[in-house]
Amino acid sequence: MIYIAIAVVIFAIGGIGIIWKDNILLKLLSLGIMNAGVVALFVSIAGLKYRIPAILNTSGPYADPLPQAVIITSIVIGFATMSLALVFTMLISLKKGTLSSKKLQEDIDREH
Amino acid sequence: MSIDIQIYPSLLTLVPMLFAPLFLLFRTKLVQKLLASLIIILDLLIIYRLTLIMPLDEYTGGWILRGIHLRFDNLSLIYTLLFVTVIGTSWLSSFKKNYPPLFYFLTSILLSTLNTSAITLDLFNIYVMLELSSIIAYILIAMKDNWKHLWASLKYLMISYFAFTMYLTAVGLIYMHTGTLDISRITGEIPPIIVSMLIVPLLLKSGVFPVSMWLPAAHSLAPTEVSAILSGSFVKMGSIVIFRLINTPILKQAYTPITLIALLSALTGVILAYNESNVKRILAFHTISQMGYVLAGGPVYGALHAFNHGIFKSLLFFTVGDQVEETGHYDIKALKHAKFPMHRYIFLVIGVLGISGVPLFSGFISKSMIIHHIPIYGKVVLILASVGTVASMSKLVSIGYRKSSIKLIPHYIIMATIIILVGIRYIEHVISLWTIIESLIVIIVGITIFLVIHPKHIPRILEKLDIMVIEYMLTLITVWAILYM
Amino acid sequence: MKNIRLISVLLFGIFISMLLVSAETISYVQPDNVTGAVKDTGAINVIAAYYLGYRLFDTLFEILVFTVAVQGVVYLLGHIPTLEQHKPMREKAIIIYTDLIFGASLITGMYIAVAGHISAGGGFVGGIVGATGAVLVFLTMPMEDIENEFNHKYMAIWEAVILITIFILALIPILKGMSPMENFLPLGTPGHIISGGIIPIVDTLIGIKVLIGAVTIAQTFIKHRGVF
Repeated sequence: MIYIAIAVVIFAIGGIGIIWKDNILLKLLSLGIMNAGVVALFVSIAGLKYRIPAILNTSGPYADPLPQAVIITSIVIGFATMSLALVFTMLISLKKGTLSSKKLQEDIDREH
Repeated sequence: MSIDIQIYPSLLTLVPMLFAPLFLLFRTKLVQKLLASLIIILDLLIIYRLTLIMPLDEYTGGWILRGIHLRFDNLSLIYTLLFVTVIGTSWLSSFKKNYPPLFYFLTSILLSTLNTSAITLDLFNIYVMLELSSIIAYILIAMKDNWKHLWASLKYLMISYFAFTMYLTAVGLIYMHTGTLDISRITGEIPPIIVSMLIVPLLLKSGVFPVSMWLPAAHSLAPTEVSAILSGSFVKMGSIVIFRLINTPILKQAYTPITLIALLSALTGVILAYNESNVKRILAFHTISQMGYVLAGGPVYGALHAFNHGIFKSLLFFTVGDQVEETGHYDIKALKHAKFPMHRYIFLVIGVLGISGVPLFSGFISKSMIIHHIPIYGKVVLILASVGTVASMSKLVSIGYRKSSIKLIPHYIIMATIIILVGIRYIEHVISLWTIIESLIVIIVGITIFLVIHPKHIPRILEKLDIMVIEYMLTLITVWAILYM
Repeated sequence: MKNIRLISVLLFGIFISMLLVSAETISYVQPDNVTGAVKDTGAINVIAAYYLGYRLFDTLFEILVFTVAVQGVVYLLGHIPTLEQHKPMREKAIIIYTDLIFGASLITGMYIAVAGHISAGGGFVGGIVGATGAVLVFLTMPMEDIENEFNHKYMAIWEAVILITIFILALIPILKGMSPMENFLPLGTPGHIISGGIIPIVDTLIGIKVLIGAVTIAQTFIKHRGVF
């Protein structure tokens, strides 16, 4: 159970980072931390009862294989989203010369 | 392919998926047209074959209870038909313009994710669909090289990635609690906080008011066909998943908060739309309002309205978007100088009649059904929202038309035919003196409001990133509180 | 602005504390997900049995997510002009060591991908391990050499062909009267390298696909933004 609590705390740190930081890069970094928290949650759910990985050339009882199998997909999705987000950020900073979300918002407001 | 091949629901997604990479290999226009029509024809054939043996369950790979649970039923039929129609007509429209092959690659994958969301019963599979379709949407919105588009897309990316991470956490906790990811096999009681973590991201995806303020910027800045795809099919994904969760332990007695949010959204959407002067943003706010109707309607009438809304909203986006691209003006005052050409204005009016719920058009059927079946407080709100819809749609119609040579544009005609056919075919189910009087009163009051009250400019505070996070968290906590009580 | 952020942090804090408080009500059920998996799929790594057997449908979409990201990044970076001057690191020692590491990581990556069904590993890990070596090599090579050796056009064709092959492997069973995504090859003896039907084949294909995709991303980044 302690592992699940740790995972939730990592998740919370990421969430607060997204809200509190103004810089887009730091916001994205916090999103990554939040995703890492969920990965930790799934892995700790898999290992709640038993810890031996379910590769059947060792002897059991084994950890639950399903959360481990599905979380790979989530890691890849995180990678894909993050790479796209970084490209967006790069293009924005090349065009506007700023990474501050507040300044970008002010620029959008000024045009209306 | 021989005829006696067994048909499976998963073929609906595997076919567009198989053909998608070919768009990147063969980059000539002719091959792309052929591939696109092949995908649409095959998908329609599969849907037809599936309707003969409906409802059909499938576990992927034939592993009963271990594979991913897919089911094709009435709900899937309505939604897959909508997805195939909207994406097919958008392709038809896009061939006249200069889209890169990447557009066709992305949209055919989008079709397969949308089809999957209509048949899947697996919570984690739904997560993958939510994320993949959103990733495609980020790219489609940011395709133009302009920092406004990039910022709209990045804002959407941050808020939805934040939300879907919460969804994934909820999925993990539900798996821990019940030991299964299959919606149909979940038993026992789910704690309310987990339910709200699961539901609110789906509301964000389906574009209802407090959580979806990413939508106006994204839908109005995207190119015409992308707006039509996003408004016509993409936002429907959240609603079908929510309808799937009804009658499972996750949403057993808990449909009240969703109805309340939906009603709020139906009303706020039209108020914001009425006070807006950018034509594409008016349509985007209408999506927010109409998605409120869909979610308030529940799995039967709501699904029907989702279909109708997808059709007339994409027709509206086609006509208005083409006009905006032709003249280069977004503002309603500037467009009044240019005016619509005759052949476009006719279809705009058909779309407006559909969305306003005029008898003989498709919107009338589903709107009357929803209003008839909802509790009394909901009736009042939805009728008010209908009045607002008529009022703000009158703004679009008031742009006016100029005489021009008649052109036959196939994708307009397909959509308009569906609107009128549905409107006439099913009218016997809702027609009565009361519904006709009601719709007439709504139209008259709506036009009066349009003539009397002048729109005011509302600052776009709600669309700031910081505020969007607050809206999200507030909705999350409100849903939890209502469930807890 | 600070006030708004304070409010949202407060709301987020309320939410997290609700989550931690209601943790008491969450029970734990471990279903039996291990028994029968080897008999069904022939892979002694049960995680691979789930990943490429029972839940192959998810994995197909996962491959698509990766492809979509690669295509999107390449397309969006096409908006910025390529660098005229691209300064690779040309120190002798770095060149020799990166070449060595490249070979080693390629072989390791392919081993991890091919043996995904009998030990820990799999296509994605293997592909990324291989691509790490390739990225190291990119730091030392001039742009023309990179473009000659890793030709973007051929890589794009290979990527699409591998993608289609994987989907065809998922569709072949329906021609044999089985359901799609079923394991249609003989399962073999569990524990051997040739076992598990289509699992090692799909693993290898995913490995190559991820390798190509990651190399494409790295190459585009270096082409448009340089090494430093």
